[in-house]
Amino acid sequence: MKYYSHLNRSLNHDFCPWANAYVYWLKKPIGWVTLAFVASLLLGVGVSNQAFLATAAIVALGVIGCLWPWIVMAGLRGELKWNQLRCEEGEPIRTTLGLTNRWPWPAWGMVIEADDAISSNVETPGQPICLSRVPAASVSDFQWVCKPTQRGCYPKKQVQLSTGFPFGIWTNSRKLTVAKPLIVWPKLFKLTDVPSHTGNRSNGIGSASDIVGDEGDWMGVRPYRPGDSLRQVHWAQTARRDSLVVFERQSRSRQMVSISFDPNAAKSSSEVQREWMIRILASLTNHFLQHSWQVQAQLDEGWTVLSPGSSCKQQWMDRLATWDHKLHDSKNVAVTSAVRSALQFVISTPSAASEHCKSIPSHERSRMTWILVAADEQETANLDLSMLNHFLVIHVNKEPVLQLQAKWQRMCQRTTRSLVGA
Amino acid sequence: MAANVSTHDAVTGGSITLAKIVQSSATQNWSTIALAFVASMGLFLLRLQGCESEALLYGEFVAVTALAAAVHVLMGCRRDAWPKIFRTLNDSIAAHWLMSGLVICLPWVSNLAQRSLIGGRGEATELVWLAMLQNAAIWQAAIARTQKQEWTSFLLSCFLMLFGVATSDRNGMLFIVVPFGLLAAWWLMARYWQTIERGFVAVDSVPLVRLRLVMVGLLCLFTALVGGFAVLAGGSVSSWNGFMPTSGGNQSADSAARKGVGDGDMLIAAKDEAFTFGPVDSDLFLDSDAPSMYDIANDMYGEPRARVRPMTRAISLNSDAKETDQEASESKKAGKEFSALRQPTDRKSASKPTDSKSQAAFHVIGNTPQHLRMEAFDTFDGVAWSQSETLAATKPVPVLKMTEIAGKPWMLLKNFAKDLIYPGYERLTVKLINIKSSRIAAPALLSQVHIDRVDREDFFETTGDGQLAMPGREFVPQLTVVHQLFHIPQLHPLRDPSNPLSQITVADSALAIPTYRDSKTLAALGSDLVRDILGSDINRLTDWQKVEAIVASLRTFQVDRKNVPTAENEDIISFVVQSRRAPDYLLATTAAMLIRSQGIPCRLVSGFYASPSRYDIRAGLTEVMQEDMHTWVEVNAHGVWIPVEPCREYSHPRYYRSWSQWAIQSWWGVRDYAMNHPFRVALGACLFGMMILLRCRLLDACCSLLFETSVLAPTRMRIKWSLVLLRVRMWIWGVSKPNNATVRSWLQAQLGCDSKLNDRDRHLYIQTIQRIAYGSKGKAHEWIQQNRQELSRISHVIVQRGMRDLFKRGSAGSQWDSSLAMKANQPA
Repeated sequence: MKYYSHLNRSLNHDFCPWANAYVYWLKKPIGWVTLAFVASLLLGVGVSNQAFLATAAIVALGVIGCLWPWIVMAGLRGELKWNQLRCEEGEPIRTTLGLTNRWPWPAWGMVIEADDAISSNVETPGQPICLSRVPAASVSDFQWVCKPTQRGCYPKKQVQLSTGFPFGIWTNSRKLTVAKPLIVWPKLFKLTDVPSHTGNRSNGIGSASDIVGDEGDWMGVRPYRPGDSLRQVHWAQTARRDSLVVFERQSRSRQMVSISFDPNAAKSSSEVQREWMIRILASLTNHFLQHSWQVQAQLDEGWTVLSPGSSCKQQWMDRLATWDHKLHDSKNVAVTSAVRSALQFVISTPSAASEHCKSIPSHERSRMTWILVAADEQETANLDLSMLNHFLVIHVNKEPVLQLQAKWQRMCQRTTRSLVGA
Repeated sequence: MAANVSTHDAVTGGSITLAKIVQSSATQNWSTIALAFVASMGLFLLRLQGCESEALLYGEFVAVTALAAAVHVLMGCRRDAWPKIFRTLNDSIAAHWLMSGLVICLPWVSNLAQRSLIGGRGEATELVWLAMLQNAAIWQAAIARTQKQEWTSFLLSCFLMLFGVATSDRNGMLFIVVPFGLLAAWWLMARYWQTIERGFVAVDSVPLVRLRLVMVGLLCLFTALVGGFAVLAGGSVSSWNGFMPTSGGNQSADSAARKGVGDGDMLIAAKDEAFTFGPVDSDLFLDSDAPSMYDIANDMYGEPRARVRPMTRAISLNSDAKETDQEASESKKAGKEFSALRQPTDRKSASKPTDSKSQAAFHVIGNTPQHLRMEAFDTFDGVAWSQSETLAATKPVPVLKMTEIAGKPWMLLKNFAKDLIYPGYERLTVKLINIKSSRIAAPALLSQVHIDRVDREDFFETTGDGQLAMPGREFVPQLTVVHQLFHIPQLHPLRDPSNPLSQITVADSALAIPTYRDSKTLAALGSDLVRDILGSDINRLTDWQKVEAIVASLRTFQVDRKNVPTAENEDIISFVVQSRRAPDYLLATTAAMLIRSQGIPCRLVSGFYASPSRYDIRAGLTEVMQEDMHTWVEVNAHGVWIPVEPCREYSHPRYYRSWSQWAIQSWWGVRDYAMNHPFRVALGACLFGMMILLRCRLLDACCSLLFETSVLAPTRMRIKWSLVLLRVRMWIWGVSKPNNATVRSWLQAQLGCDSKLNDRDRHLYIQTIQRIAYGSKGKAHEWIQQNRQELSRISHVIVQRGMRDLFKRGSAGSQWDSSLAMKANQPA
């Protein structure tokens, strides 16, 4: 068996890779046709006139094979459009290609050349969208349902209609116009529960209301809970009861949370990890906004304040959809603490978090909950994450969505239990 | 939800290109192996040429083919169906290598066995290697599972076929090359289609042009016109000029050329294979037994009959008077006289096609049919044509001057009046093969001539009758290649009564006034013939139109070379007109006399007719045989001799040079017709416009009439037929059934438009259609029998709507309201 594999390898070995650049054209059908044409021509001139018969056949083949795609494409105009302008990753979306054939003859065998995300049919996954026939002198609508699998603003590259019909030896293309681009948001996962507030900093904004909280005028007293500020202790009542009693104040109308995307992690992580970090960021943002929280989000430099409402969400998701880490120089950007928020989530990778968390002051670090996206278990095995007070680790190689949902829920329940227990 | 986005999908954000998918798809089918078989047949033929043991070769070929076919069949079956041994072999890489090696090396082993066992010399080494390559191609096709493997086999097959074509000279190779070429084209198409067919998506189309039938009709009309013209041209379209030096083309010449007319220019005289140019006088040609024009005319038309001399009393002269045979010898002199009174010939032997190329008088490259003039005669004494004294006495005109075209010396012979010729030249190349004459066959309006490397003016002259000749020699050497540029006459000025050039009669010319003894009778005869063709309005015709009318009349006569007048009957014209069948020279004589009777100058011309039927596709030239000698007439119009053809067996001389000129000429004809018949044209245009305007209604009505063809058919068939016609009608009106609409929803919408149907009728019809389409045959039949009367009526009402609404005004009739139609097209 070894000898056969050696033989196989030697037969498939590239002995002169330097020559590939010069003979690459031979890998294309048009290259073979050209070579056959030259060979038959030489044979006709040098050996026998009969070879000119083959030359004529090859020329006919070449001319038809090259001219017909060109002629057909000259009479076609097309426009690509979608039934909605925005969707999430993996969401089915109906795509319509309107084609006008001005020739009095049909066009056969065309392929749409575009990004995989928009040019594959859910019914025939992995297969590009092909058009068997565009009737003569007609306006035709081709429809299919695609599932964009990656966020972004589509089309990312020029959408083209190509045909190599009839022989496939030469392909001619025509650009298709796109009515409006399709923005694919990161996939949003459904999360349950929100974490309860602990600590001594306010996490609410807006005018005070009569709902019990930690801000505004005081409404009453309650027993001390771990994390309550000493400033809120009602010393008189404490002395009277011989146990810590704190003021119970009004709460703000809206809760606030900060979510930051570790730019160092984005730079050093793999593409899979980065995409999952974006999805988690989008899901958390969406989750808090759905619960009417005010979200302070940090993607690059600076914080973006997102109020509950569709316009804010749409702008933020559009930004996430089109965000490209290569376009942003993140070498001087570090994870910073939110100005007013008591609750802060940092989305990062284990290695980036362990490396950069030391630069964050400990009192700020204590308020942060780290959501670490790891490629696999090995990545977290040798890392010391003890400096991080609160963190969740999501391994992308093992059902990351289920992990996130489960761990998120556990975290929320833990904070609630701690409050209740206190 | 989580499963919707896989890790892999998220990472791979590539794009799809056609090149990628063409390379990725894998298929397995019979076309590749069939292609390999056909290619191997080509090599097999090659091997057969030098094979000692054909049985062994056949055995080897059949064994490899059968084995490959069997393996291919098994590879196409499910693995469960494979024999155990095949499964084992397939799983073993060693077995793969072993089998491939065995099959590929089989020719080598066979050759070795042939040498050692039979003791022969075996096959040539390169053939053995090619045979191994052939087996590799077949085996690769048999076991191919990926498209790359199929491509490998395909390329090997193409290489083998190319090699086979180039090296084999067996005729059978052509019968393999053509199927291989077609199969290869089909293979390429199939490969391309297979790569894309799985990704097809549904389409919904609306035609840009509402009724494409008009376009289809116009296309058919155009095709019919072109096809008709090609048929009428008699294959002359196939005799286009060659374009390669070795293919006999006349656009260029190559000293290395081996075939074709153009070869003779560059080669020197040779004895065994005399591919030579020449004005080279060599013994080879001087000893040639090539016939002269006189011999050819005698062979073709028979010997001239001795004239019945009028016997009168005479007194003998004194005995010392010397007897002379001067007159007899002159009568045989070529180019001086042409007798119209001859012995009948054996037409069968005269027209027997000659299969030897050496028997051709000359070869022609250029458009055919072509009338190539050799001699002209202007005087007719009732029996024989001759050149008049003035013409005979006219000294040959030396060539005017020499010009240079594309670096070659061309002798300018004559410039013609621009009004009577089309601009530009037509090119013709004549290679003299087997004719002895100092005159060179040429078209009527010859302008320039070129023989390679002949750049001296005294090599050419034009004889008194205007024919190109080479002076100072008895005949032009054989295999001389003469390139000629000539003009095509433009006849419209002659046909247009308002054009001063249309007047071509000459009052007192020897060419115009017949020297025939009964000229008055002749003139009356000519007028009668013209009247027969054109009616009584002969006075409105131009001179040329009279010529055309006479020629058209004579072209109703039959050409019969045996039907010649008896020795006593010398009134040739009456004989031809009465018998309505005669040899071509008598018809030409009659035509010339009748044309002259109208005062139009003309002359008799003898020469050769280059027929498209003699076009040799392989050599790219037209052979002109001795039996192609022909006689016709030339009419003089302001100094331009225009040929006319009075024999219907021969095509008219071409009066246009290109398609555009043909179109212009046709347009002139149409315009003249329109001006002469304005009422008819206006009526036709109105009718055509009405038909275009009412095309949909007319076609709709035709559908209704078509329904009547099923009057005797069973009710079931009538209902189906009515549905078909309904769909056709909807298509005519541009509201075809959408692909996503069911028949029921579509019918509900369509039938809702018909006020003659009530709801019950519509329901019954739709239900019946559905029963026929989807139900069991027995129950549908039972249902139809129960409602036969009603269904017949409903079908009739549905389809007859087209007839009812044919003349109804407004769009509410048969013309489907567009909004209603659009609504009807919406799927339920």
